[in-house]
Amino acid sequence: MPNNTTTRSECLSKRLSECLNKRVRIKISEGNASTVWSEVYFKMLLWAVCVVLAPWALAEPAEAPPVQVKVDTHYIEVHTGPGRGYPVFHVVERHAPLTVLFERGGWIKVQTARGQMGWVPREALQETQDGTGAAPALLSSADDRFRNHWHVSLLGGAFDGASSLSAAAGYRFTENLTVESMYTQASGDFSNNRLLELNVQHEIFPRWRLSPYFMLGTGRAVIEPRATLVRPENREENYAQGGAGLKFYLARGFVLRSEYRSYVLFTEENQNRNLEEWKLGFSVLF
Amino acid sequence: METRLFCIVLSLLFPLLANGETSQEKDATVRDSRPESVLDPRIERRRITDAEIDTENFEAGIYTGLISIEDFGTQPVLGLRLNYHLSEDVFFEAMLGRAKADETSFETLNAGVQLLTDEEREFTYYQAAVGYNLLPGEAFLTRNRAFNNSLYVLGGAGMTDFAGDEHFTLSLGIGYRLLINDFTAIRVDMKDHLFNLDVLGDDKLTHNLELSAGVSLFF
Repeated sequence: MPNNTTTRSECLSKRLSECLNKRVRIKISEGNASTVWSEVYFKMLLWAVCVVLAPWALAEPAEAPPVQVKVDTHYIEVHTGPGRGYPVFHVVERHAPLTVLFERGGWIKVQTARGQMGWVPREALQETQDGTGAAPALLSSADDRFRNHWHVSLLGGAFDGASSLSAAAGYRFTENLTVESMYTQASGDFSNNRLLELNVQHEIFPRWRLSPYFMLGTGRAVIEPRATLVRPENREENYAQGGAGLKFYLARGFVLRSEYRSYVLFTEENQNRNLEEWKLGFSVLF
Repeated sequence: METRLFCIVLSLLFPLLANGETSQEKDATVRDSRPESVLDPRIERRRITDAEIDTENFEAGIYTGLISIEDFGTQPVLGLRLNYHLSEDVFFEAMLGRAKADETSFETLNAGVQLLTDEEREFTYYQAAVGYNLLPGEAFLTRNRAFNNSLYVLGGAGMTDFAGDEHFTLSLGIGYRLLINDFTAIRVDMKDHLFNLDVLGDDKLTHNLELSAGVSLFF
């Protein structure tokens, strides 16, 4: 037993010295300036959200003329909730009016002439008539991607052996051409990398559901080497990238996206550095 | 800080509940309308397109709860979230959360030893996730009052800024959303943030469990 205790204490002291060598810092200052600032920033963000949301929440809903349609099939079933599993509690017969309130997740909240509120699938509106006597002109997923010019994307991937995460926002100028700005963060065993870039994407067959594209981009990378003992200087380098990918129009306003990129980093050394990246993610069109 | 946020949440909530009641008053007026209008509807003569239908696919909210930062104690967490509801089944979520790590037991036992500086103890995560409404349904409060609700699962990835480094983080979770009216949801989430941390010598996979509750608004 005493033997065992010795080993444990030895182990502890070894651990302590390891820690002291590696990371231990004696608390020097209580109020580090950057900590204070990041806290202030976070609080400001919270307050900003509340300030933006509060008037909106307090405001009375604007009185817009109601969107009304007339049932043009034998009947339309009204569900209690926005989903196929919610029970049908009401049926609206042919020629009866329906007031469209709002849409959420492919379901539309409606009000019947008798004041009942319920949900019908978006597709059910194809079996109604609007004031002109035709079915409402609702877009299918194919038209949708050209009506929406903006998109935001989130992508995860592998950047030179590190896990990367990207957020992007883009604008479609023509059916083929899209310009996008992307921020990537890649954290690996050796370094943390931050990349900010601007790229141009060209879709060759934009009307295909599975649509291939090429891209060219340029940006700036901040490389922060990861080390425990010595903290080396961060490096900032410009880069150019070329890549190709596939977009798959999965549903209305929603695109799956996968791409390969090849980077050239213009380093201060004699040779430029080449890196590769794979990405997989999605875009939401709006 | 937390109490103050609860106040904000509640102050946001009350007007919304009040709004819900005014909409019920409107129901009453529609019910009073002449019955013949049901079979001879006079619909305004105009073309209806997508632009005229109000979409309410976004959900934004704040949440607070507890996060157990492995080796660094359990601490309050505060966060913001934004969701996009693609269909009745699938939604996307972006989150930003903040907590502050406590001392490890090692530091508590050895007074004066600090593994991390104050700044390094700031635990900030931001991530994106995909959610799937696994069990949507209705919850009955009384005989005539039902709320739509859903049990969902979440899976995502992001970054966690902790101990002076950024760590690639996977997150897995399960949650419950109760809609108290068409535009307000109460949510409870249980999540696990997984990432590698090398503060204690070796690189080890840490599980950081988070239990949170929050309020969100649809718009």
